[in-house]
Amino acid sequence: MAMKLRTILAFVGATAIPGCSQGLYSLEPPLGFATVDDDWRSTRMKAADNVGMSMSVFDNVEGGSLTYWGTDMRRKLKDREYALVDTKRVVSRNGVAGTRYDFDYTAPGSDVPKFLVVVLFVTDDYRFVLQLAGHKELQEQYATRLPTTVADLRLSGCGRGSAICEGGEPKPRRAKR
Amino acid sequence: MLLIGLLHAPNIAAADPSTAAETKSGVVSGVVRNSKTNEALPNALVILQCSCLSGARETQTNARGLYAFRDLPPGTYTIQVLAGQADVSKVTTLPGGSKFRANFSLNPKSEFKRSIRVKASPVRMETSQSFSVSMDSAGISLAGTTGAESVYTTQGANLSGGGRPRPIPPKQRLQEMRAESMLIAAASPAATPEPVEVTVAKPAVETVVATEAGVDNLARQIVYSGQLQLSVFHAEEAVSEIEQYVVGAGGYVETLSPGKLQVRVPAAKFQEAMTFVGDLGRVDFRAIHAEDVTDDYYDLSTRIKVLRRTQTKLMSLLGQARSVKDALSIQTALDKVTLDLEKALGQERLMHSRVRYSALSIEVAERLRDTEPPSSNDPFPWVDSIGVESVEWR
Repeated sequence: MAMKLRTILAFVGATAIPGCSQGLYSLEPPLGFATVDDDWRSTRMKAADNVGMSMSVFDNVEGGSLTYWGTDMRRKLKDREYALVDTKRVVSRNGVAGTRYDFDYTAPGSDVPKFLVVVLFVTDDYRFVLQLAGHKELQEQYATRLPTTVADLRLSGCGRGSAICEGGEPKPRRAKR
Repeated sequence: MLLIGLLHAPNIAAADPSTAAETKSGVVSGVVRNSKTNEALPNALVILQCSCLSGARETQTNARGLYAFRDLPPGTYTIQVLAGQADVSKVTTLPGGSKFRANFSLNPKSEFKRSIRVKASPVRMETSQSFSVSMDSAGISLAGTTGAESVYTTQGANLSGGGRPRPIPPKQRLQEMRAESMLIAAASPAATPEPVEVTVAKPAVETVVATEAGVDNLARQIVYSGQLQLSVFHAEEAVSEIEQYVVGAGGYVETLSPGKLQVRVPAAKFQEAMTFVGDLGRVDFRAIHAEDVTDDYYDLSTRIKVLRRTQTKLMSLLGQARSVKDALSIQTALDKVTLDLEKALGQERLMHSRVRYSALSIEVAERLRDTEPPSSNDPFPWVDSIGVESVEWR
């Protein structure tokens, strides 16, 4: 019930936020990017040199935390031969804690190196995944713009005093009497 | 027997300009009769085979039981006659430019197959040599050979003069031989023995022969084809296995490109082939198509019969032509009918091949590698949508 109420409030509130994307988050296109499509749970943007940026929203589940989903993501990307080269703690404009992962990647059968930056936020209700990807040689040019984009993000789904939104583990549920 | 005389070299040498024209001017002709009634057998199928030909030639006897094959290159020929239940063959070697008369006497109700081999064949003599020409009641023979089964005749022999070919006057024959510059003689009397007959207890007409002759039974003619799309872990190995299976099953590979095969397998093994290929991996798509071509098949068979009759009739008329103009006119018509017949026979062979060999189109795709996203039993497949592939633009 509380989750639904937060979502409704987020949607109503987001409509008052300039540049918001359908209510679950607000994301301003960085300099050099154009929005390709934008719907309830995702936004895709494109730079002129084919570097892409996207935001995807997934539902969180009970027990899901930033640590949990971060680990899940790193393990699965590692299985797909993504090499993790750096991690950083980040915070959104509305105070949601997140983690930035920088990966190097070369597709099987290809010798063209690519970069992938994933910024993961987890709130009580949602997982927010911001991605930036393109040719490795373009990483420095675009990665420098990312902190500003992240710092401007507003994310919904946080309850009052939510440990999850602060990057911690969810509080243990009280046993029902 | 009438001895004609000796021919002298200068006369013949002057009329022998080239051997090239002789290489394809041989003729095999004869009459087919009922051995019981001695009556001519019309519409008997006569098949001529030789490794020197690009394919078998076929014709039917006319109302007088006569048949003829013209423009034959030198070689060893098998002349096969199918009439009713009878199947009789003769084998002979035809020198360049010569004419061979092969008469058949058979019982259409007989269930036995008979082969006759004419062992010794005449050889072509040099023009500087002389030879004798003789004639008996069956026609003209050379160097003392006799009998209607081994008589060489000249072009222009009157094939329409009754149920049996008429002997040609020796003088006329001699002139024609000069005109054609062909000197054919038997090497020696010993080299032209009487035909040897071999009787084999065997069903007269085999199914394949009957089918090719357009006298198939009324079995349905179904063309089967199939399509398979397959996902395998190792595409190249799968393609190689399919190739080996198809060849082993008596089929063949029509086309082969990376991940795609078009094969033909014997119709009897079509289902087995589909199963074999399907077992190599995960079947993503499977389709079978059956086309009933029975009507087309019998329409074509009927057309071939009509064309054969027309061809035989025209050949008969050609033999009766009294002027060059008539002969040319008939020859033109005969060429057209022959061409149409060859086309129809080609269509029949193609259709027969499609019925006997089912087409199977196979597409083989490689399944995901081990490094690909996790399998579907992952309760949180969200990471599948994360990655360079889903973000970067190309």
